[in-house]
Amino acid sequence: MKQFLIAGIGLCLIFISPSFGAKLVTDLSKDEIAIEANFTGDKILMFGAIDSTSNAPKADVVVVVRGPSINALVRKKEHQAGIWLNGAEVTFGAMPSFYSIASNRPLAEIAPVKTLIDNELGTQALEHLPISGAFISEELQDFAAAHIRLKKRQGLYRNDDAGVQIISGRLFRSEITIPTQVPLGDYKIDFFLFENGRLTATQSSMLTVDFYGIENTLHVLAHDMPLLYGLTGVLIAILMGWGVATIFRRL
Amino acid sequence: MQIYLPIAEISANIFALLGMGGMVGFASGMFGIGGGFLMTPLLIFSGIPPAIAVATEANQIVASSVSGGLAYWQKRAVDIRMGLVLMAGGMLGSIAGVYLFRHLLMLGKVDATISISYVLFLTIIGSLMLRESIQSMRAARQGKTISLRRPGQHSWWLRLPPRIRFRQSKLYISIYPPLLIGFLVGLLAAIMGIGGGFIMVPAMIYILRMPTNVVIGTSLFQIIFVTAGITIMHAVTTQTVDIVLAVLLMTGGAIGAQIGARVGQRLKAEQLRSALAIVVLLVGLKMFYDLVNKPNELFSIVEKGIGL
Repeated sequence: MKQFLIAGIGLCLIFISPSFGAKLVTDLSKDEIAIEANFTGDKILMFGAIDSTSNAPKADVVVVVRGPSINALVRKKEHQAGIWLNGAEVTFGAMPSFYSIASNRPLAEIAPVKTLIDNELGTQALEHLPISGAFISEELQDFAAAHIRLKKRQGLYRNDDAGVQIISGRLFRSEITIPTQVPLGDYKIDFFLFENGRLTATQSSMLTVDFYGIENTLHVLAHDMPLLYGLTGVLIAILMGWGVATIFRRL
Repeated sequence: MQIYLPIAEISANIFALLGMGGMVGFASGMFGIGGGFLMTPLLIFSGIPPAIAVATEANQIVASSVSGGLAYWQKRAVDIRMGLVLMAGGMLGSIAGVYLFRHLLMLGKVDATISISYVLFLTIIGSLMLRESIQSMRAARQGKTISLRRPGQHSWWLRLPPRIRFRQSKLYISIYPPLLIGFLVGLLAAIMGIGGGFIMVPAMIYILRMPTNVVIGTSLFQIIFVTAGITIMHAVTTQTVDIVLAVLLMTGGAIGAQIGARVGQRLKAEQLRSALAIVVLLVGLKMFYDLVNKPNELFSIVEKGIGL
């Protein structure tokens, strides 16, 4: 059913697109992710149409979902006095907190390395710019590699070489799973169209990830009114402790 | 069934958390302990960031000490004046502890500090308890009873002026030892996510020479206020208290404690103490192993601007 719907939307897009002269028309299944108490992750469908009326070269589509930028502090444990303690550390400035890239075939086959690096396509192409900590280049590479490895393990960085399906050369779809530990904020979704290894069109959309309901209330309270939040925690504890003792004495 | 923890920012299984609270509650009801020193390591072992485990556990201990302390309060088995002096020391100690905690958190040393403190205290207390319970089991077999309280001449530090009369404890001693004990326990409570009863109670009996009938009530009385203070301070300085997590642990813990207390009444005190000592030593050993064993992943990340 979903497929038909997308195909339908896609067809409409194809008929509309030439009049706007766009080579790439895209959309998302939703533009907001609400984290509530029962949040266990979410899925987003990104889809669109390619205008390849030109002499039909091989078209490739790359979709990048990028979370808000943050500074990533990477620490390395060292063996000190018989135990393993955090030692050397490096902070990489302005790293995406979430980065998921999907393409219809391996990136290396789609475009030359330089193009990939210039457009920060692929987790390996993300620029790790140290803003504090160790600056020895060899060590820096270890820290950068560890950063990518850890983010991948958390499910927050992803490279999917087969994450975009192109249907009859004109429609495409890509679905990503948003994990529960997804960072909050504004996400940017970039669509890239490559034809014969050349970047010929781009499109962008926005996506918001935010807390809702009780989760939102508590999160806002904890960070904006921490004293009230702490007092609330203590009050709940006193009432629960007192309530439980009273109930069980009657049993 | 999953629930999203708004401060830890992870999704966890409700029943697993209730079960963990219940298990530790069972042990705390059975052994007559607060259970913080079991709950905090358990939370850390199950993947809750140590800083959040410590601060959230302080919140839970408020609930368990209120429900445990109420009975002692109604039996008038609380030395309020002693409780207030210990609390004053505890407040100062916990302020120092929270400040140190925040500093260590920024340095990236808080996890190791929590582990090292646990290894040290669990090993020391566990060994002492094991030795003591074995001795009293032996004595019981020979038909002797060991008196915990040895009245007589106070040591010089108990006579330092100014002295205070603690009527309920039948003591006339210096204000400094209880203040200092309160301070040290408050410091550890803030860093380790414990109430500190398992350090406070022996200190009250062996150092302050308080009568055993008021010891637990007085200890719980001061723990309520000190852990309430710690909860508020952690919430304000590091935003590490997760109320959703705390409420789940409180619920499981409360039910477990009631069942544990009923089971505990059927068992012998020495057996209970030696079983507890072994649990304490095992937790300490596990933490020690995690510190000295080379971790599979040497690197860790902290993202600034998105929580801890």
